[in-house]
Amino acid sequence: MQILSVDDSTIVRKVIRGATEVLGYGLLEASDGFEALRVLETNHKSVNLILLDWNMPGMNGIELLQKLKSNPDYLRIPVMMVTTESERENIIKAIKEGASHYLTKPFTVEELIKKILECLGMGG
Amino acid sequence: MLDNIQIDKDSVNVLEKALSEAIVKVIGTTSGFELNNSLLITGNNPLQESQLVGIMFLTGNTNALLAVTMSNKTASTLVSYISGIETTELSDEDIQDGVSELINMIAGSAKSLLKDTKFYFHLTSPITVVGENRLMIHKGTGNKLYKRFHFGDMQINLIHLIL
Repeated sequence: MQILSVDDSTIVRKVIRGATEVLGYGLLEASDGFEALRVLETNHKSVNLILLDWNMPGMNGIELLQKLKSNPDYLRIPVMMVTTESERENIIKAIKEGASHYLTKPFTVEELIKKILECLGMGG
Repeated sequence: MLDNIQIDKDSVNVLEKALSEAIVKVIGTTSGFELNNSLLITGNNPLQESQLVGIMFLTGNTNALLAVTMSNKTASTLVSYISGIETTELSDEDIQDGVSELINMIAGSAKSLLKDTKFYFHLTSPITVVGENRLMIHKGTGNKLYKRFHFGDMQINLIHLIL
């Protein structure tokens, strides 16, 4: 099982890495939307889930999400937004653009693990 | 009649409450530390005794600067608890990024609490300022909020300046 974390914060990506290590999953990382697309170009067949920040320099998370959902190679990969944007209209916007799950910052590692398992259809 | 008194949703008390709730929630959720004993700071230099400052400019009907300031020790302790990485294994860049992410989350939490008030804002990119003996001088006449929170033997300062 492999997850792609897209977030401009190295600390957030390290927190996510800690959670994926607990689950025994692999983690690919990207610090922005452009890097995420480069990573996916060569790894998309092995990526099972994308964790996506919203506010990033250059291409923001929603813009990347639109690109992901318009590319047939990436369409099957579920996307969970992991972001400080917590208002209802933003959640609705992300869901309309194709995000399947949403986790607002701040979160505990336990919450993150639970949401990852839900995204992968393994939630209890 | 007390029942007829309505809280002015645009009062600075609402702003202070939202910011306080946000920082308590963020620090508590991410690190497990419980902030307490908050007090309003007086004095001219809110950056005194701080070596790291996380800043975000808030844009909206009311433009403002939001900042958290702390010592190197507090920052490394917080980032260690947040990330699960020992303080000795954290690089300076990790700690600076952690401070940046803290202000990002505090602003994000406060933003949702201030919806439908004149203080509602949009997030911008966080900034971290590093160094000793920094001064912050602001000559504006807008509301200034400086608040200090204690946890253990550490403290973190919250600054909100209406520009």
